[in-house]
Amino acid sequence: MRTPATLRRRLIAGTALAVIVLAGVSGALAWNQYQDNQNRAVGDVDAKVVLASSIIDEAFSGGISTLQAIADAPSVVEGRPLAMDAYFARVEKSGTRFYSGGISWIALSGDVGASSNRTATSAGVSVSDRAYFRQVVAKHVPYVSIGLISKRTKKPTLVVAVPTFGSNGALSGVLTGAISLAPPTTGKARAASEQQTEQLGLEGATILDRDGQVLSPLPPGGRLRRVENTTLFARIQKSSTGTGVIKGTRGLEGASDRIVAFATSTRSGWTIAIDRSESAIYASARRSLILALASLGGAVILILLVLWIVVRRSRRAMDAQGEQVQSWSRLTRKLADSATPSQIADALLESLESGFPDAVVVVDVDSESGEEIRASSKLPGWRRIAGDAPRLRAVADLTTGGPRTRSLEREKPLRELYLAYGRRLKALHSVPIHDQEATPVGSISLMTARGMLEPSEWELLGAVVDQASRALGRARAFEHEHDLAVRLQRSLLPDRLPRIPGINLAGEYLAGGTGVEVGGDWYDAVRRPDGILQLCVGDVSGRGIGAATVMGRQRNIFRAHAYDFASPAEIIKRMLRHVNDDEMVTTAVVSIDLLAGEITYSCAGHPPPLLLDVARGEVVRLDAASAPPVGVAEAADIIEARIQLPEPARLALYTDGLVERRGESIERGIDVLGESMAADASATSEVVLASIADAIGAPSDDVALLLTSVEPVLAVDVELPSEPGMLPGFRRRFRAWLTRRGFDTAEAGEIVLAISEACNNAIEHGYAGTEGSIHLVARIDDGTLHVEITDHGQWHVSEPNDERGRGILLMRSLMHEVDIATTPQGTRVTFARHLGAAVEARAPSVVPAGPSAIPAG
Amino acid sequence: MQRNRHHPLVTTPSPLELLSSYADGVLVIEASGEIDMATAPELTTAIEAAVAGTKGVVIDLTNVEFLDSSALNALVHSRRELAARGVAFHVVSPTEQVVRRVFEITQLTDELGVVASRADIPAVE
Repeated sequence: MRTPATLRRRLIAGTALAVIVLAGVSGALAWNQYQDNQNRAVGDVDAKVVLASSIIDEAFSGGISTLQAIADAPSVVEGRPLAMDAYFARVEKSGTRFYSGGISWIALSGDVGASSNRTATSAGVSVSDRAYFRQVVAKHVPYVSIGLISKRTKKPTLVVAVPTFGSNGALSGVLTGAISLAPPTTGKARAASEQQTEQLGLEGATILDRDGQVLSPLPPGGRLRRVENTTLFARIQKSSTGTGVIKGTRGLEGASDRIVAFATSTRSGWTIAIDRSESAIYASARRSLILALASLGGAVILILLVLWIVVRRSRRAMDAQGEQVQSWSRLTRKLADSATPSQIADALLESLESGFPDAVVVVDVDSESGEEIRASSKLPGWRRIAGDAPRLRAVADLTTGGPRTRSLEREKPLRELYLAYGRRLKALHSVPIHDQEATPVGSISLMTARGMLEPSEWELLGAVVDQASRALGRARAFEHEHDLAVRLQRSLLPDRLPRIPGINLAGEYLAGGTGVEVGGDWYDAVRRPDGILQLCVGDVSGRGIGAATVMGRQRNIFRAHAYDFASPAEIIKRMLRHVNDDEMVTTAVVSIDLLAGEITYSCAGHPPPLLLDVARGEVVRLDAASAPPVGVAEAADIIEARIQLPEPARLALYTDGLVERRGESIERGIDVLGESMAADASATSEVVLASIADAIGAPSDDVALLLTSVEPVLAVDVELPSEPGMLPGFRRRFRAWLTRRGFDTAEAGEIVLAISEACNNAIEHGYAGTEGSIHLVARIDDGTLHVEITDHGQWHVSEPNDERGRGILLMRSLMHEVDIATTPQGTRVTFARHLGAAVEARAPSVVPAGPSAIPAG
Repeated sequence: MQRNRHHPLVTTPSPLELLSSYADGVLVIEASGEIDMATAPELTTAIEAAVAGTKGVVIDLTNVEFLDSSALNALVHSRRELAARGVAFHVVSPTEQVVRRVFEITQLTDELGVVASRADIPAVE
């Protein structure tokens, strides 16, 4: 998809690319220009030397012509030296002074015959050894010499020589014109010479003669010498055209990276060379290149800078827009997560604080417990304001009646606020929050230093208020639902646990989180009439009303069947019958029999109950009878196990929420529970909960905990069905209790027999085959067992015979005290038996107690 | 934390078991468990199963842990029935047991021919 952002990115990339291509092309052009400029610079130099050499050629041609003209003069033709002297001097003075070293005529002998400036020193000088003399004599043609040291002046000199002929046409001598190479000594002449050189553009030019001697500039001391770089000179000499440019070579004097332009004069054989460093020649080309590149770079940088600024500005604008969108979606999300007015206030505060960084934000929302007013700001020093509850209250109270701005500075009742905040906040902008019924439920206020808000800011505030209003509506509904849920949960848990001597039951239920969802955890306890205590804890998977319903149903099944079955496994099997396919329940049922001194238990998918033997400080996991959860298990899977009940003992039934923590093994939680039980056997359930929270953190899920403490009991109070089938079981339990309380086997056997006889009578006679119950109360008091057995029927004695008498006889013989009393409500038998004292055999005369003891019908 | 060493329950034992044997005209009923109001009729039934020609009946209570007046009544009743048919009747009850004391208290030791062990039963003619 082409979003504005990608479009913008492409535009920017395209522009940048165009700028780079343009820059590249311009750069190439500049480079080309640079190359041209270099070539032109070289060409300039070349032209200069060529020009110079032609000038020199011309000069020499002129000079030679002059000499030839002189040679045709009569004094020369006639060979009259004195006349020649005068003539030469005259010519010297009137001429251009080309021959600065003077004009001389040399006889064929080689001696100087005449001279323009004949002096004593020049007399008798012979030049017969000079090459120019010899060449001219030999070849009869003009000749230009190489650099020579004048024999007369001892200075570097150049000589142009032409032949002279006598009137007979024969060679008569050689006419020479000397050119002094020494720089002019007079200031005026030197200046003129330098100006000439400059005009020719020959600064730095070197003039060499045929032998490579440097004629100009003359080396210091006026001596003649050959150039250093003879190789280069040889190369120049070999040049066929006599002119050219050599680049990248060593210079005439050996310097490196030079450009040497040269031109050789045909007439004189001189070479004019301009020998300059490349950098000097290319300097102007380079300057113009640098100028071109610099202006190009500047232009590119300028364009990129403009582009960057544009991009930055647009990005900042987009960022700001993005930030606003993000902040908005954050607010929406936070409000959606907010379950309480307090959380909503926090969410509003956080959002507005970043949305209005120059304001102190005050949020006020109604809640169940009153009002939530809080303030926040990004301004420095706002805490002083936020912490001032009465003033915040005052601000919140000013917000009635629609969105408006009030001046804190000018409105009289508000001036107090203005002063209180150090005159920094000048205006109060407020928007009320209404619920669906248009009842005000809160407000948002901003206090700013500026006098008004932008229309867009009012719009934003309006939108925030709309969101807040909806969120508050949700929170109210939520609070209501949560209340309902909690009430439902409470109603499903036992409001009161059975009170049994020797047993203390403490149940705890903690709702996980603040959600409206009720959990499916429960605990329950049922005391059976036969004295067996049935405990149950369970956990329905899932939450909400559905889970609560399943929980209520399973709990009722437990309650109903706990009376019918002493066996935990049988109870759980009944629970299996009442579970739907999509339901899953874990449960543990534990049966505590204080008489038998046994614990029987069965678990279905549930963490094992823990049993603490207080005397030994040992904790045992009741995990020998585990089955899959209810909803998964088959009836055959449900098993139960029995373990002896230690006395005193502590038993914990719980749901996994107590011991399970995210990222932790449940085993650790179970161990912690066991440790906390063992650490303090008398700890209340609250203490146990607290110590577990200390060790592994607060629970995040629902928790049910049923903590049972068992002390040795010295009293028994049971209701038994008046049916023969209950007797063996009861005898076994009662015998076990007696044994644990110190009676020996024989004593226990006799006591149980006596009780059994009393029960026989109650069953057989009290109800005469109808259903009823027998109430048995026993207590051990000061080494004596007292038993009271009551029924609510009458002992019908149809025929007083010895058979019935035997039961009475046994009772009387096995107990130290026996009393049988009948009341309109029923019959009560009381026994007493002293611990460790046999009952003395009674005299047969006492037997049978007979009809006297048996109440008449 | 200790693992417990207890085992799942299977069944609760039957209160009374009776094992009858018949040899040389004598019916021996070995009882074990408890004989009370609920189980005494079973004992009576077992004794009444003695066929004609039975010379004697021996009720061995050595393994009986509990016995009440209902059992006594059943034994006295059976003994009288058998006596009328001329069948000898003996009850075996070791002297050191609580059960033995029941016979002594009710002074039925002689009437029911209670002996401490089967070896003490007089030979039947």
